[in-house]
Amino acid sequence: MKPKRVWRRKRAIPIRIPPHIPFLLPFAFLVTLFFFVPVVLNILLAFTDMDFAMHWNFVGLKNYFRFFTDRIIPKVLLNTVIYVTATLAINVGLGLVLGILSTYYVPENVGLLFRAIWLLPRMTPPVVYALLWLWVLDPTEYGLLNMLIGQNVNWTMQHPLGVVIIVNGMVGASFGMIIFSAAIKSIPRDYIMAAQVDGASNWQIVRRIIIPLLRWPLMFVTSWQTLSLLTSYEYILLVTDGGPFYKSEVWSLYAYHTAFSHQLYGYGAAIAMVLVIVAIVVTMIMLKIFGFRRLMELAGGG
Amino acid sequence: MNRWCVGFLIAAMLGFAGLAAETVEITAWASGSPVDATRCLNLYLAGGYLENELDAEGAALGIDVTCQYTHVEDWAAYMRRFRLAFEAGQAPWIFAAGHELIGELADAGLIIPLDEYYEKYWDKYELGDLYQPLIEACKYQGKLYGFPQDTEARPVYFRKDVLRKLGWSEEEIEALPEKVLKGEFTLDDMIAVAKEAVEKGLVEWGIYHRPSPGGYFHMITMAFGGILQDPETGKLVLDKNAILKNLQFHARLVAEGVTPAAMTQTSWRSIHKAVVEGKVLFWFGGTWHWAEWQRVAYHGELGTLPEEYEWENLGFMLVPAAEKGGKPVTQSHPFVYVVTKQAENPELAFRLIALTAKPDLVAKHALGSGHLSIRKTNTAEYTSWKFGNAVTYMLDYTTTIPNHARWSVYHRAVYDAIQAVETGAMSPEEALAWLEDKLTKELGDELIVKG
Repeated sequence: MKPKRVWRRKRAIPIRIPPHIPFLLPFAFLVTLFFFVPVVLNILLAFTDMDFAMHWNFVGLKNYFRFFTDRIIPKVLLNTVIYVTATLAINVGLGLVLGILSTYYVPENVGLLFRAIWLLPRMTPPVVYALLWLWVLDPTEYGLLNMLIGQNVNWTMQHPLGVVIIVNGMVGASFGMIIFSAAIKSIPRDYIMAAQVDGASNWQIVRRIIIPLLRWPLMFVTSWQTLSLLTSYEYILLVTDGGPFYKSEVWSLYAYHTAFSHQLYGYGAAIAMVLVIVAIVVTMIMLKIFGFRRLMELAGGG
Repeated sequence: MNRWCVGFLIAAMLGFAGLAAETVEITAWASGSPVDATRCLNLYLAGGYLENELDAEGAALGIDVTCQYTHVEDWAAYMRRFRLAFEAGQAPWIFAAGHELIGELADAGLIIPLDEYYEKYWDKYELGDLYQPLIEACKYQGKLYGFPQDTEARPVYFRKDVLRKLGWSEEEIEALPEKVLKGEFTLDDMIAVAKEAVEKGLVEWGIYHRPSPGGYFHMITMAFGGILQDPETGKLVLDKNAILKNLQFHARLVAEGVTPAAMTQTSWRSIHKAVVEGKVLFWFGGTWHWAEWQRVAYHGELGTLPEEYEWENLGFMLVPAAEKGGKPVTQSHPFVYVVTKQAENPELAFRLIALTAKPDLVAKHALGSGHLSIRKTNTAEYTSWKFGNAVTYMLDYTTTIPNHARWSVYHRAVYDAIQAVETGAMSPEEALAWLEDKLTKELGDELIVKG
């Protein structure tokens, strides 16, 4: 009897690709291409004196030395601190007030309409939003604000930093408003009702129940907005362009102007690099203060 | 509007080009104020001439010109666009720019020297008839990188109607340019008259100047006897005495209440509107504005200005001398065509731009845009042009800005310093110290500090 041939399955060498890798690959590719490569390029660029000619001349730390001796830098840093602090106060403070007002104090549908109106500037293209402000602030008698107060004030020249703070604050507050109102809605009504039964006033409910329960959203909005204010400049560019004479120039805009208006790409990259380092440090400090680790523990299964 | 016209012309040229056996596409970018579109249109017309020439030479070659015209207000942004287009391999063959940008463009290796073509076509295109200083303005490090397109003068315009209201007689008004020429009417006198007009409520402001970086700011340095470039080494010069006087002059304009502190934040449109409506007495303008006011509706009631209205109400003079008996100045800013490194056939590109210097095309551009001719022999139309004849004498007092690879750094910094002084952010002395610090750091060996 012919022995029955036993087909032995050749043992395949298993290529063990963890199942999540194929899912991650496209994103890893995109992140590498659009985030990692530009970061590396920027780091390299900051060591060159590249200008309009676009030559990769490596000059060591020259750009960084120049950063610390640039006479405009102290002014720009001070502007940045004032701008970020004041705008953040408006963004978080006004956002909180709007969030509480539109969810706790007024009926649901009125609150919805109110929030939709506040969201309009966020849905408007920045150029249109900035243009509207320029019309409001026009220095002639045709400016809306000047018409209202009955005299000609050149707002963007006399109060450039104030103007950019308000312009950014108004558009930024809607972000906090949305996050806070969603968080307030998720507070169980029982707490509020129980407090009302105990005779708590509205103010006491806000102070003792709502705000303490908004701790994590507050942390999130504050750190998120700090970072985005440090690095964004489009409204300032459109409304005052940093002027007059650097009075409303902030750090990120100075990097932009240096690189793209003055065509000093190397120095511009170095200014941006220092900003990145500062932003990282600020974020770490904030996460430490707010106890970010505890938040993650709670979410993870605590 | 212009874009549509250009688009239509491109379509028309493409239609014609289809008929020719072999076609060469020559691309170009040109720019300027709204009335300078002839910088593009003349290239199309020259394309026709070039085709005829090639026909006569027996080369059956169609010339298809594609030119993009941009009304530029921000030159830094426009240059960046050109730079990026070049990087992407999409630069045009021909680029029209201010002559002072040659240094920067040549240094970055974006444009090619044209000396051999100048030599080859000198007689054929009668290039000896061009004003030689204009060709000189195309020179960088001993080589010719550009071909003159136009030139102009920058006069100070004054409102005759306002001077009449101030009690000046017709003779006094007509004699003003002459007094400036002799150095009898100085910058101080100009401020005094402007102040009087403001105080009497005849105008809102006495003196306006341009709101963006431009040659004007250096012209004032030169009016105070300063220099911008060392003639021997070609290095840029920070003439501290003259620049300080320039800064003090602008601080004084604001302090005397004749110029708004926010001058540099005023839009071009509202400046032109104020000038044509007589709300400002003196305007540091350019000859091309004469044409611009006739073609762009700045006046609230009249819209575009009829030329008779201009002759009736607007006068023009050189920039007054800084001191009695001193020399008045003006500035020319020759515009040039350059040929980029990405031009596939540089010789054809050169021939095309050289043909735009034909008298009929030169006249067409000059009359249409308020610029002056680049050549000595001109058409009858040009020689009988009243405004052109009235301002040509200014070329004897003209100055130019330097051709230097780092010019734009210097250019921008001086503007920033003047803005700082006018808006009160710095005193003239502080602004000068800032300027010196900035320029010595950024330009290093390429800067000579004088005084």
